[in-house]
Amino acid sequence: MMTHKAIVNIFSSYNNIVMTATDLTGAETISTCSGGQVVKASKDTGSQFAGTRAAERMADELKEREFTQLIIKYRAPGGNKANNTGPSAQAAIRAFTRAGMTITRIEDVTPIAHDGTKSKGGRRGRRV
Amino acid sequence: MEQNLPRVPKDRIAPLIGAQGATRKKLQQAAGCKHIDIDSETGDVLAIWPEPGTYDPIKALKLPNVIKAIGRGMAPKKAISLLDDGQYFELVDLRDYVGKRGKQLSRVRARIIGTKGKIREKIESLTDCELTIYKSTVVIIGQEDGIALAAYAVQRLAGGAEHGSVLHQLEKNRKSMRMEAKALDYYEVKEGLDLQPSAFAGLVPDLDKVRDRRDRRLKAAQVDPKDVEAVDAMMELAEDESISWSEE
Repeated sequence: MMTHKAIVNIFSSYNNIVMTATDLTGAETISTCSGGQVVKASKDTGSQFAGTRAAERMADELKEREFTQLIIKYRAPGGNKANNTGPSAQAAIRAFTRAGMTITRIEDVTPIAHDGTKSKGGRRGRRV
Repeated sequence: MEQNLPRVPKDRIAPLIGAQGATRKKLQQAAGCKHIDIDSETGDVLAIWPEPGTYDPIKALKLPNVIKAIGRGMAPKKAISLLDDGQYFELVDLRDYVGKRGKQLSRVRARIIGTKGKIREKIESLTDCELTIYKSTVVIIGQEDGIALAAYAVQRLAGGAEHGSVLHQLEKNRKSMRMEAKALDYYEVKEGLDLQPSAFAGLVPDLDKVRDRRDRRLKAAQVDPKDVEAVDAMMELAEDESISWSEE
């Protein structure tokens, strides 16, 4: 069977996960999925469960088009925001391997600020 | 696959390699990678992974964070535990809160550590996390919900909040954390399953059948209001029926 390679771009923050699968050029989108599409409560959109469900859904769509090899590019919000991915990214990658996908490469593409703008919150921080 | 990992500061190269490469070997084994190349002069780290499909991609996702944690002063033994499932990594830079002056940094470090490590131990035990405070950074390793609380507590202490209020809030959150751990996160109703009869119907045998029959009869007795003949037939009186009326 012919198998194709796809790039899966994962954006994972503490509040959400957004995934886009493209072909190797990166210009043609194969499928997209996000946390809000797979859970009922919006507080759960960044959870491990949302990551798993979204990845399962995407794996089904990729398999339909005979994509079984994946290059994963994950990122956190980055810039002047958090540089660490949320819990959903790990869960999503685990779900891809469970679904029978081969992950050939895994790469961190978080935008890192080499000095940039000031982060949100002001001098006295976030006041709740 | 080759993977470039974060560079390690000079004073942390030795702990990363270990005596005769003991720590490096342990790290290789825990991650399941072919080889970890550490340049002992510059501190550059390179991981070489075997063929795709033979290693765990989650480990490849976490290995940069493990190296970062060791580089930021965490003991290699603790840092390797990050490779386990369900463990997460968080890094708080104190320079974001007080600037880069040494006096300020040491003041904030002291605030987070406390007298003889009292505050740090309290944060660790209340959130089930591992804290390492080194130079200008705080590395936190822990589970999903504990790590968010610990990071927030450290950020508040760095920002100038009182110890009492920070610890008080942690204790409050611990209670709600315990409740959430017991709560059911999700449930799914499977399609195609007959719903269970309700508790009341279960008490009375054959209540469902009686209800069904009643509903069917009621439906049969209804007359279509547009059908003139049917309406007339319904309005017609039987032989033994009569209408009698009188004014009140």
